[in-house]
Parts: sequence; structure tokens; C-alpha cells
Amino acid sequence: MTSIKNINMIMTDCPALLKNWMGYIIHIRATKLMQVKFLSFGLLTVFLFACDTQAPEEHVKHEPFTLLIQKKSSETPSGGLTTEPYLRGIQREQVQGIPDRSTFFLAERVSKITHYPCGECHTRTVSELKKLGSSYAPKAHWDISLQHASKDLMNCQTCHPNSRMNTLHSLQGAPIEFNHAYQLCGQCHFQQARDWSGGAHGKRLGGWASPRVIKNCTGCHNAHNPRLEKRWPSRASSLPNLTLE
Amino acid sequence: MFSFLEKILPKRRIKQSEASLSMKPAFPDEPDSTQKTTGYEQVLNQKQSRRKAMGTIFKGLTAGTALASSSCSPFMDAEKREEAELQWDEYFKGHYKLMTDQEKEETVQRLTRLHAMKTQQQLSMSYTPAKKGVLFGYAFNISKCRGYMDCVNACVKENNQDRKSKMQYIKIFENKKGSMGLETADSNYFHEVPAEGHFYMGTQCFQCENPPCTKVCPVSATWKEPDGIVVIDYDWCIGCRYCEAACPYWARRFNWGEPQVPQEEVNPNQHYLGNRMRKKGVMEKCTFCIQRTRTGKNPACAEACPTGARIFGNLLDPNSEIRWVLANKKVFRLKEELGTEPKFWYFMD
Repeated sequence: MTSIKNINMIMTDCPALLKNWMGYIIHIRATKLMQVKFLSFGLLTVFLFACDTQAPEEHVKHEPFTLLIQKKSSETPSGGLTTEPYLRGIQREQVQGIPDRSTFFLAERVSKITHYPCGECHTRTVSELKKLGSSYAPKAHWDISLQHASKDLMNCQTCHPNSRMNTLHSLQGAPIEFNHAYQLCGQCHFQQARDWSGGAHGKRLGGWASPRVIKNCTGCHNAHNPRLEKRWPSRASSLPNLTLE
Repeated sequence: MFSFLEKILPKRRIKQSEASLSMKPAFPDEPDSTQKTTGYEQVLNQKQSRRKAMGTIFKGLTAGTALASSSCSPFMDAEKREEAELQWDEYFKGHYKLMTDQEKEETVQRLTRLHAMKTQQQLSMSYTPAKKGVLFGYAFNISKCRGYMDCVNACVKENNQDRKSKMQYIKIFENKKGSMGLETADSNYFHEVPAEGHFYMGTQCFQCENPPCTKVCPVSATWKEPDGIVVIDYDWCIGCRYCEAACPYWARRFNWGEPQVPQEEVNPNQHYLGNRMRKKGVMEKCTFCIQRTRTGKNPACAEACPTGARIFGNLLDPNSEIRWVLANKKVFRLKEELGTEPKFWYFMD
């Protein structure tokens, strides 16, 4: 700005024509100066923003696929398919889900029990039979040994009533049908029962399409010895032991 | 004597014109195929017609050769001639995704006939398309799996895998409890299971929603079906093994030799994109047993599992078991950070 002032001082001594002409040049110079100032200011701003590490980025919110599908629901959940053809020969029993879920089916059990109804042999209560002692030798399923929880916690009567042996009974003594043994197991194994009802535990029969027919607890577990046995794998892997990392 | 020639030639010409007419609505992925000229489609169409044309030319040549040979031996073996014809047709057929339903039916018929001629076994091969509103997903309970490997046996049997190279899609890893990484896991264990202090984790093709393997295929021989299954057209695969390299889960297998399955063990229930007999030099992989699952059945591995560790179902069905697992269990997937979005979740009780 000092240079412009100096020129103005010189201008006062100059003729009018020259002054006008010089004024024009000064005007141009002034605008140029302004331009340089604006430009440098602009560059400085750009530089400042460029240096700013916290500069706002374009962030596209990517929704996880797992959550995405949980919002979706199909109008044709089974794609028009049914598992009925693969369920031939399996009698089923309807079940109300635990704790709150739509109904499903399980494979019926009673018809598979060899000597049912139990009451045909068990005319007397077990405690009465025991009193008879050695004169009354055990005839059937005498080899059952209970490998389920500790002796303090469970004995035969925990599940089997002393009389009316055609059903099981709950801890409170309410009768439970053999077909609905899961109600009995679920008293202690409530977490497993919930998973089983939902679909995270247990075994599906037929296929993935509807109707949903699953195995009862006793379909896989022996109630008297519920732990699955250790065994050898059915084959050895033939693939090279490449790891995934 | 030349009746077979009359039989062949007009049939071919009609077929070709039919094929070129019915080419446009052949994309199973795109239901609104009324829009006809997308660039991709155009290119593929052109490729297809050129291939067809080549096929016709070569067939003409063969017919000529056959004519010459049959003029020398008028009692040429009819079955051999039929086999040669079928093989020619097979050789010059189009890409599966561009085939019309009729062409699919024809190729399935040809493959069935060829197999019957070779082995006297009658197959029931299908080309069942994906069902609407179905997206398959899998969940694997690592606290239930006990490493019995019954699933592997069932898979090999169901999918007609090569017995000579002992191919298997499923791999079960034995992991020390307290470690999660698969770098320390052992997949070649052979001892009584479950071993003390170990847990088991099965891997197979995860049918990624964003599959890296399909993107690298130079001939589009592998793709993701609308129900989420990644499939291979074994007749279009050139065996470059790019997909095998691209898969971060080591899920794809290559046939180094002619796959060998004892004839009595061949599973006759086959799908064109699934367990039909493969040949030397092509890739193959788990297809969630496409021949079973597209009819409502469970995959062979899920059916064979004695522990109930394998859960299969429709991800779009809010009442399905798999959806319950996703909503109620703590699930994870392998190498999630890659963005492949596998449709195979692991969870524990």
C-alpha cells in the first residue's frame, strides 16, 4: 500500500491526462494486489484444511449382512417346498414352544417303546417289589444303571412315579407323557430346552422346509446315561493339514 | 443308409434358430429380461451364437466324415454313432446361465443318456432352479461338534466325490480349548474323539454373499445363484484354478485326474450344478447339496451329524432355526474382516 501512496503523491504533480492514465494503471495494480491477497488466503485455507487430520470423511455406513437379513422376511418362507415326502413313517406330536414360540412337531415316542403300557407288568409299585426281595427276581431292564447327575440329586423316582408308571412325572408330581419327555428334562436343563425349542440344539428330521419336525431329547440321549460316548472318528482326513491363516 | 444325416441336419438348423430366438430371456438372475441389450448380455449373446455357429460347422464336417465312413461300413454301430452325436452336442452347448429351460432339459437328457450308455445306470438328474424367497444359510455349533467326521463320509457319498484322490469338501479342525486361531489347529487327527481339552470346528464352502472366487473366473463358469449357493458349470470350467487361489477359506477342490467313483456307489440323484459326475481338470466345491436342498431336504452333512451341531435353513424365513440361532446366540464367522460375508456362522452353547 505504501507504493500506491507514493505514486499518488507523484500524481499530484502530473498533468490531468497523465494522472488519468496513471490512475488506470494504479487501479489495475490495486486489483491485482487484491487478487494475490485473495489467492493467498484461499491457498492458506486449502492448506489448513488439507493439514487437518480430523477433516470430515465421506463415511458410508455399511450395515452388517447378519443384521441385514434379520430385518428381511420372505413371503414364501419355504419357497413352496415341504418336507412331508421325507417324513413318511414318522408319527408326530405337536409341541408348544418354550418359552414363547410357534408350535412345532416332534417325533412320537410311545409307539417305539417295546413294552408299553408299562402298567401291564408293573402291577405293584417298585417299593413293594423291592420288599419281596430275592423271591421276586427282576425280569426286564434290570441292567439299567443310572449315570445321570449324582445319587444325591437323582434316583429312579425323580422321573418315574412309584405307581401309575405309564407316564413320567415332574418334580412336583404332575404326570408327564413319554411323548413330552422334554418337559421333564427341561426342569433342570432349561437352557438346553430353550435352545432345543428355538433350533440351536437337537436334530431336525426330514429337511429345512416346513413342517418343522425334530427329535425329542430321548431321540439322541439315553435318559439313564445321557452323555454321548467317546469313539473313533469314522474316517481320517485325507486333505493336507493346511491351516486357514 | 443316409437317413441319419437327414435326421441330424434339419434338426440342427431348427435348433440353432430356436436357440438364437430364445436367447434373450435366458438369465435366471434377472427376472425382467424384457430389457434386452445390456452390454454384458450382448457380448455373451454374440459369443454364444459364434460358438453355436462353430458347432454347426463342425457338425457339418462330422456329418461329412460320418457319411464317408458309413459309405464304407453301412452297418456302423448305431449306439456308437449316437454317443458321438451326443458328445458333439455336449461339446458345443452354451453357458448354463444362457440356456433356455428346453436347452437345459436337452443337456440333462444327453448327460443321462451318455451315463446310461457308459454304465447302464439310470440317473435322475435335475436342473431345479432357485426357489423364490429362499436364501440358504448354515450354522455350526462348535460346542456340539465332537469330531466324529460322519459328515465327511456322508458328503463324499452324496456328492460323488473322487475316491481315488480321496477328495473331501469338509474339513474338521481339532483346536485346543483356549485357542481360537486355526493356525494351531490340526485337521489330520485320528484318535478317539473328542480328545480331552479340545474342540472341533468344521469348514467347507461358506457360500459367501460377496464371493471372491466368482469374480476371478475368466470364463464366468462359477457364479452365485439367487438362493445364495455358489455353483460351477463343470462343462464351462477351464480349470485355471484362479478361484481356488482367490478363496480365502480353501473351499474349492480341483480334479487332477478323472474322478473315480465305484459304479455301485454313484448317487443317481443328481443336479446339473451339483453332484453330477465331474471330469478331469475342472473345479468343484460344496454346493450345500443343491440336489437335496432345492427340494426341501437338509444337506447330507447336516443329516448325518449325530450331535446336532449342524443347522441349515432359510435365512429369509423369520421362523427358521438358523434365524433363531442368529438372533439368540453369539455367532461369528471366519475372516469376517475380508468382507466376503460368508453365510456360515459358528456359535457355541
